[in-house]
Amino acid sequence: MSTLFFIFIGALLVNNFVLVRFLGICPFLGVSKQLETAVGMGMAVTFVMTLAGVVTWALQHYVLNAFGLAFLQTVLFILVIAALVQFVELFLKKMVPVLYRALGIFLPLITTNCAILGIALLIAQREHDLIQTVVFCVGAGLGFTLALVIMAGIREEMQFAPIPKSLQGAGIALITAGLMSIAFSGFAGLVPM
Amino acid sequence: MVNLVKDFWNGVWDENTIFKLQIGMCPTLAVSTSAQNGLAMGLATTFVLVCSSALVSLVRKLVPNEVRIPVYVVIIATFVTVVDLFLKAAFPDIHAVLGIFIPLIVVNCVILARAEAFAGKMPVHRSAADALGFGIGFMIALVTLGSIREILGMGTWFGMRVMPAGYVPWSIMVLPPGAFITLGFVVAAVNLISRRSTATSRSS
Amino acid sequence: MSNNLRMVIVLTVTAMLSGLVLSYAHDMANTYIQRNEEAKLRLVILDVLPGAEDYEVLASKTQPEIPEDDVTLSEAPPTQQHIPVYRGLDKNGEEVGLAFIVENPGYGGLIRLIAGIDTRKDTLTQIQILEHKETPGLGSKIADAPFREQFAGKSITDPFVVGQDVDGISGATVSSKAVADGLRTTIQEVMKRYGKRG
Repeated sequence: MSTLFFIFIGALLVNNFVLVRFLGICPFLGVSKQLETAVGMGMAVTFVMTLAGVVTWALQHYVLNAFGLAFLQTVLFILVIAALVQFVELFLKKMVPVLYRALGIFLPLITTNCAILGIALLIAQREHDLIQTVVFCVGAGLGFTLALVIMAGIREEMQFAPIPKSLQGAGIALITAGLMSIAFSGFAGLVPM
Repeated sequence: MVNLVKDFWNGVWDENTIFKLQIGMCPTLAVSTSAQNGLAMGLATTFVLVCSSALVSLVRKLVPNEVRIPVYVVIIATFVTVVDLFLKAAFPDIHAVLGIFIPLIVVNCVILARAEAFAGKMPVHRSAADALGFGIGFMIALVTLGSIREILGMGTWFGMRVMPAGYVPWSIMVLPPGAFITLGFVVAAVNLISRRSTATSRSS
Repeated sequence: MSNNLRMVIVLTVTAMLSGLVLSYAHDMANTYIQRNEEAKLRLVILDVLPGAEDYEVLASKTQPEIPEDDVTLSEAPPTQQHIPVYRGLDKNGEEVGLAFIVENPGYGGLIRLIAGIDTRKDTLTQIQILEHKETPGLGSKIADAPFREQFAGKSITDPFVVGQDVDGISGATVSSKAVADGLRTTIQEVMKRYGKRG
């Protein structure tokens, strides 16, 4: 049980996907202007991440490792993720229209989100079992959401701040992210790795 | 010929992926801890970009419109895996540092964006020039960032000592926060330069 | 030819070509990759065991050679169950010492190091940090000479406790302890399994 807790906290805070591992920076900068969309994007990413994490975990163990085809990893994973995102989109549209309206517009953006392929590759390097994989994915997804929501909260306030012209937009967003990253580095050493 | 130079320059400066468009940021932030890592990543990405753009342009008339994206993705992923294997065989140390960011070149939006927006419609030589420009522009950004972080964070440049002996390295520059803050200021500086140059060209 | 059929054909051909190219590239690269790994390992083993000209693998990560009657091992932490151990040989094929890999979690992640024991004097020859993720400027000093060199010539029966016989790095107690603790427990395991037998 404590192992699962450490994996979760490790993925959520200590090795935060955005601020420490630098995965998913594009949506982090692109979709963090409003709090509401940030929450939607965060949830969509967490959902797809967990699904993709489990599927690629199974593929890695039962197909790639089993047949010694590790060199096909990149090709296989990216195709599976792309297909998965399409499938999720169709499924939600038909079966859970409420959720589709909330997450739908974010789904196409997720295929090229490096956080998804990133988590698949990270899982492949680790020796997690299925439950640990799920916990790791959920932790990482919520960590992404947390960073995105904090960023959106700050940027909403920043709209009214007198920022030098050259720094507006990406410049100040990156520097804000740097300060958040300093805060998150305080979590280092929180859990035994 | 003029076209080719224009296609090339577009990616290097006018639409520089990092400085102007702010896409492909993940590898930029993650592997720019030193000038050498930035250069290696830049070269790997440029190789994939040029090869896949050229191939996409070659096969653009054979591929039905509905399945073009999956075909592009497979082409890109194949070249990425070739680079991954090559680095592992020839430069294991660099391969170890770049880690999962080599396979992640696949999802560098720049590559798919160039395939979709340019190579899928243009002849081979123009697609290659365009891809080379974007690749070099990306590499320049990575090496700039890596140099600043390495010089301030470790006192060295490409491994050679450049700061005086008494210099105490700012460790934070090679840690994650340093990546964000450095890139923030570099982007601001580039904004300033291009604003100045448009202002002067307008007034003259 | 119907459009659907064309789509299927194009996708199949693309996937097949990709697989073909990659399996060919993989075959070519693989020999070099394995040769690199072996050369690197050989270099560090001969480095930590002065006088050694060659080595033999007693246990590696993939083929742990654990004595079957060893019940104590089942209680060892997972990182200690497969300790890669190499026996260094001089030019006459005589044992000069044992080299082994130590893995212990530090502050930022796993610390991997290789250490050598001179089995004639029962002392450590030296240690080399292979991999670590400690904080640059603080914990990263475990890989620097002043910290590493204090282990050279230490008796393997020493306590290996930071503050007693090991000087820790100020500001990086966790990293220093991880190295000392990892060495102590792994040395005990290695000597129990491969130390002088009779």
